[in-house]
Amino acid sequence: MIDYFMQFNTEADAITAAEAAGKLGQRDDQGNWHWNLDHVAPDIKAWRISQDVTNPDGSVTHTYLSGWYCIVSLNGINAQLNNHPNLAFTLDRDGPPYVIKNNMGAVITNLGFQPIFAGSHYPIGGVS
Amino acid sequence: MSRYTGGGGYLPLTWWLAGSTIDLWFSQSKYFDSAVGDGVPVTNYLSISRASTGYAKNSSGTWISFGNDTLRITDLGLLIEGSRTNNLLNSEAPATQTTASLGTGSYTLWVEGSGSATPTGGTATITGGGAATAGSPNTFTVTVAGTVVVTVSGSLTRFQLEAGSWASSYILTTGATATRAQDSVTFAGTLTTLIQTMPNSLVIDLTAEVFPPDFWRIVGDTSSGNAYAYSPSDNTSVNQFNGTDVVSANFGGGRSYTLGAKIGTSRASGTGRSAVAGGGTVATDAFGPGTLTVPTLGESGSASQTWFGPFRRATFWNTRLADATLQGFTAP
Repeated sequence: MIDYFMQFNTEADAITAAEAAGKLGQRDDQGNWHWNLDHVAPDIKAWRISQDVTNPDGSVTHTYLSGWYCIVSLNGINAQLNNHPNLAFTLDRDGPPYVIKNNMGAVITNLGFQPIFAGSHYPIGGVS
Repeated sequence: MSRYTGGGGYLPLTWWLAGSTIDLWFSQSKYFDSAVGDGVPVTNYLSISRASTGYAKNSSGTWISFGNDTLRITDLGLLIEGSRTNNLLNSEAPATQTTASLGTGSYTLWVEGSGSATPTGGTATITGGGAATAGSPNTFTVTVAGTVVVTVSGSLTRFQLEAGSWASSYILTTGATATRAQDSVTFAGTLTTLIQTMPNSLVIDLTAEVFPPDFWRIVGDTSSGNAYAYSPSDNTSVNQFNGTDVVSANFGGGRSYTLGAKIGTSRASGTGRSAVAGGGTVATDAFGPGTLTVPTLGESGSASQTWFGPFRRATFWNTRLADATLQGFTAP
């Protein structure tokens, strides 16, 4: 499957973009937005591995990157998502190759993300 | 268990129900279409979108893994659940750890093995934390967002910490927390045509993982609020819903239900009316639900209204069944 990691300033911005495209979710009769959680994982946390701090008890503290992230997972390449201005990068969880598109440059190997969809695995550095 | 799935002398020589058009007996892996015959693929009638692996437990208590976009069918039925995230790392090598920051709300910690796991507040403030042991999950509340420390004692084989007030199916994690995507199970092929054409009837037998805390859909529509059948938050009845018109019938209690529903030749009330049935009773006069544009099992397009639990059997007719027939199928 192809996983599109999208970055927005806020969830409201992401909803605006999804609603404009008429995809990835819908509003209920009270006007509340609902992501299609069968293939959208909203509110993903991202951090740089190099900024991690290991605490005395062995736990690791991440410094989360600003912004709001989500993963959109589809069965194939979707040009609309792949060329979207808010795309951070595109990964093929069934790779190699794993990196389909990278709008963040070489920094991708220093990125950590979670949660990820169960069963996905990206052995390319920080992205588990 | 009702006579519907209970077997015994009530069933005819053939396993499918008399006069049924499509009979999907998930827990027996038997599928029938009157236009094709016995042994048809279930994927002719139901399709699924789920962008993650998922597990389902069988009657022996074994977790079985299912790949992306695969119906989770075991001898307990077709498992349908909403999305959940396991906030613990390395779920099959349980060790004491501190979670990432958790938002406010209810969380459930469950374990397998001979030990226990206990949540305490790290930077979070929690209430209700206590030891979770096999078969006895702990549900606690995060009142101030932050990290939670989960302390493992003894020998555990699996553990899971998920948002929500009940335990859902297992989510395997390794070096990152992981999300099981929602099961979006939509009708396909001739079953779509059947459910969108009047008249029709259905009988469904299923179990809920918890008493439905919201308007959990049994047969719904991702594109509207319409529901052919749903379980409301009062936990005891099955309803049909079309905007403001609601009619209900009692399930008869418990989290294991057999329900019936039918739509006449018109959505209007009166002769040829629609109805729902549960617990051996048929609700009186009903105004039928609107057309299901994207008919689904267990889903409405709203995460809080997604069914959590296995569907054991779903049978459909392209006719309007008599009240007595629905009463018979849904009787405890």
